[in-house]
Amino acid sequence: MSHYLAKRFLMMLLTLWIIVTLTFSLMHAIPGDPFASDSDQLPEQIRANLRAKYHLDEPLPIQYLLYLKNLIMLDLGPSIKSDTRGVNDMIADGFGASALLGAQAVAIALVFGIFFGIVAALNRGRWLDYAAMALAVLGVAIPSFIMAPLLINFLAIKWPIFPVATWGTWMHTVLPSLALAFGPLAIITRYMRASMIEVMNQNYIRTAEAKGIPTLAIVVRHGIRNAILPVVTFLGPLIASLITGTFVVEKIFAIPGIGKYFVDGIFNRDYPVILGTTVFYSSILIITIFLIDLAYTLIDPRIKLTNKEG
Amino acid sequence: MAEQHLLTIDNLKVNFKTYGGEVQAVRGVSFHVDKGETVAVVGESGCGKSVTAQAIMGLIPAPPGRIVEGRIVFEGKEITAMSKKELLEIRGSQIGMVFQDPMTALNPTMKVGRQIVEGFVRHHQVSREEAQKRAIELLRMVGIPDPEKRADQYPHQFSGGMRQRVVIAIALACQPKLVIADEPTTALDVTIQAQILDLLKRLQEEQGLSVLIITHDLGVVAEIAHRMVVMYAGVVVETGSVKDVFSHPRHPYTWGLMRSLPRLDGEKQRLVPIEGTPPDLFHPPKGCPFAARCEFAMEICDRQIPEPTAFGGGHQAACWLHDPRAPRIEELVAAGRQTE
Repeated sequence: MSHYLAKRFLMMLLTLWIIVTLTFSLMHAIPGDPFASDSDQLPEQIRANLRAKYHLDEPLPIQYLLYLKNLIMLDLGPSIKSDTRGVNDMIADGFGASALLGAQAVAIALVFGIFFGIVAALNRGRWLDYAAMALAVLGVAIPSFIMAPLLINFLAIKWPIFPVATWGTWMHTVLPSLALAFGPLAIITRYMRASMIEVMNQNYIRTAEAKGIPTLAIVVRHGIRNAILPVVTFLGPLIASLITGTFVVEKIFAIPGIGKYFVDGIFNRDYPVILGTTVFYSSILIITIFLIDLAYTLIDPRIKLTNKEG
Repeated sequence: MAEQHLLTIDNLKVNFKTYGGEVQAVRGVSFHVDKGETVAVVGESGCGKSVTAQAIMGLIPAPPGRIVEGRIVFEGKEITAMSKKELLEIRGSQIGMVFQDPMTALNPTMKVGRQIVEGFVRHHQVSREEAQKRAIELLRMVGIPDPEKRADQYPHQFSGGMRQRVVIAIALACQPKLVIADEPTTALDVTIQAQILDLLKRLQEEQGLSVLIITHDLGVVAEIAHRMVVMYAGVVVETGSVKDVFSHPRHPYTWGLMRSLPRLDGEKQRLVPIEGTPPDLFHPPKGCPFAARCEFAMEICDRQIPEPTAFGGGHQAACWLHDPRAPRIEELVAAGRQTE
């Protein structure tokens, strides 16, 4: 097992290195540079000095090696556009809010998605099934930037239960978490329904029925664990994308998360921010996928991480 | 009279609604199982034998299935009139079931020991330790070596034959009075089949169980059963002790089955298939369902379902040939039709 973990860790680093290299090349292939928009105002000499300060005057391979060197020391570099703060600070400041919202959204989507999926599967072809599926279609069809204003309109303005926007108490986190959760909830409902229907038709469910086990206990003991794998698979990318912040929902609710840096970084050609957010997102994704793989082995004893025992 | 049997099935009719119409899967089946005996229900695919077994367990999926008519009486209590809750009390504790395919009959994500005693725990409310003890005891009883270790393993760590032993252990967990085995050996290798049949036979004798075994394999019947019920197209065509039916089959369908079996003794001869296919159960024939394939079919056979004729010793066959008004079989043979 420790052999496997060591191998796996090396593979994760390798993956990350490939991502950094690709992002670095692609980023420099986009026309323009961080000072392109300021070019009218900036005297030539200042511009050259600025470029020198951020090593942009060096050849690309040197820049690449410099970046890797800093990255190994876990330094994501300075932000060119906000010269007082580095990329590390930006992530440190914003990640807390984004991660809290993301984690709450994942939890909501998971709990309700699984519940609705099971209810729909057990009532297949009856109105509860149709209701759950209608909800699922809405969830997939309505984007979060429609969902967010709707939530604000009903739950903050018409019935002022929650604050409209901004960040502060836990109450402030409810609406953005709901807005984030709605789409994934719909997808999880569909996955769970499909796989639950399949599982409930399996022979081992007949065996359990023949033992005289009531339906609810059959679902809990024999159904969920066997039906949940597709949902768990979907969970990997979902967790990574939700806890690293989302541009739209954070913007609508004026949340000081990290979602906006992904987009701002690209508009500004703020090279260290682009690379830094990508590295951060990729690391979270790679780690999440590793954890999901571990979860598989806990859920289904037939799945082993290693070919050999041990 | 009928109430003395452990299990009585009386004129059972089961239909299934499908998009193509209503299939009459079981069309008036009656037989009984006594205490301590093994009864085999024999027939080809789709003759309604498995549906009959499911009906006894109250496991017919409804919808689309429904019991249209008839009664199933177990120990004097009518299963067909029971509530869902009463059925749950009987399932597993009074009647155990062994399923056909051991590869899929066990939950892949639950330890074998826990699956075996799940029903026992539910019906007897025992502690964890007692349950584990019972699981190990049951595994030992069905001949699984090293049961202490095996109880904590998952089904994928067991071979097919071992899994079927586990399925049998599940069926026997609560010491039921009746075990229904639905094609218990069909999915297994021939050598493993023999082992599983021996096991069922041993357990039946040791524990005085009643066993209702559903099979299409006459070899299995000869091996294990005391009495047999031959089904065809949703009805019982012949029933009697295994000895009587094998040595003096009375229904042309049973003759056909016997002739399609290879024999070890006597001369080598070609096996004779039963020509044709069973009738469409969306629109079952008005008369004897076997008439269309029967070489002795008479006019009456197409018009009216024959009543069973008794031959003594519980041996019965539902065939017009045994009506006193019917011509003797010898006459039919002389007229150019052949039998054995």
